Amino acid sequence: MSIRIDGLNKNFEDFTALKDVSLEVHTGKLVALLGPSGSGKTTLLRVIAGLEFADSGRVFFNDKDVTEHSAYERRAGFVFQHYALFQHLSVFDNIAFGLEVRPRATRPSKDEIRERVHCLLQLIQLEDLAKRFPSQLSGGQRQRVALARALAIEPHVLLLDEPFGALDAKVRKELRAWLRRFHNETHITSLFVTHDQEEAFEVADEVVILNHGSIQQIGAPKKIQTEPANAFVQDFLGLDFEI
Amino acid sequence: MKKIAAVLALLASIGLASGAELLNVSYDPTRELYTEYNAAFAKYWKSKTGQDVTVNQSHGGSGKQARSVLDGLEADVVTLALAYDIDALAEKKLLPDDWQKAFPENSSPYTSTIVFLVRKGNPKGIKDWDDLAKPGIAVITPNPKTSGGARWNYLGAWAYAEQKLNKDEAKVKDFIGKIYKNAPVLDSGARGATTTFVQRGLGDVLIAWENEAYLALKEFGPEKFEIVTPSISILAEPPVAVVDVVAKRHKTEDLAKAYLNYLYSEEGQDIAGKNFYRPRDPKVAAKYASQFGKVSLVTIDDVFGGWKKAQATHFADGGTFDQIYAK
Amino acid sequence: MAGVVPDLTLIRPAVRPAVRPRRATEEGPFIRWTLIVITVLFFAAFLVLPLVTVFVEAFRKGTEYYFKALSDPIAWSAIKLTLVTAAIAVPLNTVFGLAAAWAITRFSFRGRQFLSTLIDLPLWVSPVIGGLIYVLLFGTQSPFSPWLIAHHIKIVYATPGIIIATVFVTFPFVARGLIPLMQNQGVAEEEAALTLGAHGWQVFFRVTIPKIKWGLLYSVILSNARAMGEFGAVSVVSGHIRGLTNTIPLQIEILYNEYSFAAAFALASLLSLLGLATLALKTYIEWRAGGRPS
Repeated sequence: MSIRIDGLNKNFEDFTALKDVSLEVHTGKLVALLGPSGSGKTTLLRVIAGLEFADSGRVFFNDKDVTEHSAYERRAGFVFQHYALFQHLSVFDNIAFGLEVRPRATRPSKDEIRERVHCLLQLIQLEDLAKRFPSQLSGGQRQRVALARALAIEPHVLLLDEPFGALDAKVRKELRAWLRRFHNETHITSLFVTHDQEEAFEVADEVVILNHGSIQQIGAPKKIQTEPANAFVQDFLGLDFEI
Repeated sequence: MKKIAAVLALLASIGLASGAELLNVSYDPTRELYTEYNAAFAKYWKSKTGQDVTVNQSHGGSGKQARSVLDGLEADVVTLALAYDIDALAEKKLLPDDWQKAFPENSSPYTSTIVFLVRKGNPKGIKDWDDLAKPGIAVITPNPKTSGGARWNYLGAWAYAEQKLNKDEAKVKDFIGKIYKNAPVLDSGARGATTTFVQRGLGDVLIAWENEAYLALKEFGPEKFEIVTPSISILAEPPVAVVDVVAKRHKTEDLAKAYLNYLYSEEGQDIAGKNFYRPRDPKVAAKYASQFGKVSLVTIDDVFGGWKKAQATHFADGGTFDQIYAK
Repeated sequence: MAGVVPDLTLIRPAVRPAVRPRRATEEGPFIRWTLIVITVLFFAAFLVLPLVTVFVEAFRKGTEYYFKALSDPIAWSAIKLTLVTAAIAVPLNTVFGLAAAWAITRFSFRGRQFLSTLIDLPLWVSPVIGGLIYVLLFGTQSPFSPWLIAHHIKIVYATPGIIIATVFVTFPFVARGLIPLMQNQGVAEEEAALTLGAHGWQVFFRVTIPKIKWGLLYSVILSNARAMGEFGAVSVVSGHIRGLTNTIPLQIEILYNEYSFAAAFALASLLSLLGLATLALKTYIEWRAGGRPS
């Protein structure tokens, strides 16, 4: 499913978070939102998820206008920087949550849920830890559970907010590679926020560079690195030394 | 709105007994009297009419209780310490102005007076009011501003002084002033003062209702305290009245009237005597005469021209009490 | 401790401290012991001694008298009234406290700060004033009075008044207990639940409530203890009708003033027991909440 954003504006009191942002993420792509802190990338992601509402502009999933839809209606899988796992639920119940809360008519049976969760546990290679609680997991394990939880609802799109930001360098590298492989297999339309350009360029099909709430450049990693659109991009990527 | 009303009505009914009910709002020292009397009346009423009756009782400072009735405490009858407090209800039209004519003896079925409670053996040799004015005597009495009983205490002392000092007001004031200078604390109510004297062991003498003094003696034993009756004291006439407006609403007018009337019966008078109130009925009074000390009693009407006048002269702001106590 | 131990290998043996090393913030033994003794003495004099006295006095006339005093119909009605009052006031305040804490920590709206301050009002004003407010509001002086009388509704000097006064005094407890907790925990888990398709109520019952459950229980218990022990506000609206509108604390005062000390202390011991049970439950909850893996 594709995501299309049209002229988004968002202000927090006297701070402009998004300024006339328009963007299209094509079906099956893995796109990175890259920018310094305060550039509006997380706000953009939250507006797409329905966790924030823009002052003006529209959000489309495929061609459906979801601007007025609330978060629970959008079916956008969201992975938080600090995982936001349910502390009082086991790994299994965390992943099953999105299925358990469905209305009776569309809720899978207990057996189906169990099967689905086990599939996901397999995918994230944590089958043995189903009964653990989040507090008993390492950072990398927690983030994989968070990802599995988001995938359980078979989301239309996957939104990741600095998914590896809180992890140490080694784990981050592993997970990054894993995410790329995972995306190659599932081709679920994904948008992830990062401030780490290495991460953005290594993983993403396409990179969107933001600063002060507006888009500076959109393009394939190669293209951006070779043809920065303006002085900010050039400076931000530290390209002046390489050119 | 209807639903709310229903829920509230239901809540209000929690704990209510079946059969006829009456609420007697009374003052502090009558707790024991009315506990006994209510049981006797219920028995009498059942045998007379076949109806079960529960009399609920509420006690507190006389003035405070009158205030609660004004604010909505639904008393069918009030049995307070002073006519003045019932007058306050009449002023707000809860009962007629001439309420005191509704029952015999100025609507006071029993009387009492003010006596002294001293420690065993009367170590300070207290005999009469003038002993209270002597230096070095610690007197316990409540505050006349808040306590009905304290006003009777004050007026008792005043009546004695007036007679003894030939109505020389300056000298009378000086005498009363000396007594209050001897008071280390002024409790807000009669029971509080009793507790101060009896429990906390403060003071050499407690000026108290006669019935309070006898009750304390009964509770704590004559080996700890004794009662001294002064030569002159004041006749306290605690009045009773039906609160017409409330009784009409509760449809308890007849019951309330019968309840107060039965106080004048032989049984009612006997219970009053047993609880150290002085019965009005001469026959019953004779039976209990020996338990009370000999005292010459003056009435508030004779010496002070009634409660309204006494209140204005002595206890209103700027009255004699303020003049004396400010010194 | 290990972190502050100086490297002793660099110091000559003679200078080695004879006793364990002292922290910079640690006082000398004299001050330390003085403070400990003061604390213990204070605790004994102001908490333990009165508590022991209550039970000694309660059993002064023997066990039989003790249980007779508690089963007296008037005492029993006071116990029932106290329990009924707590049973209504506490759930009401729990719902209110949850709603208030939710509103204050989750939404930003005009007057939020003011509302937050207003919740504390009952802690700031004397309970007696709280009681008087309701006498003025629902007593015969009030404009509602004719309506109330016409519908045979008694509020002040009856059970509803006692419940209302109790609600007034206890309503800050739950809200006050939850607001800092909910502010600390943030909304990330709730947001996660939303993106997973959970509706408002599902988020509340499946995520928020489990998150705050220990804090909530703790506040509810505290509020219950206060509801059962409240004297001032209830005293004003009670009317002191024995067997009808006296709660345990009011009945204790009445018995004491009637020279029935043993009976007064028997009831007082019951109230103390309820208090101690509350304390035990509270400690258990703190232990559970603290012992939970986090």
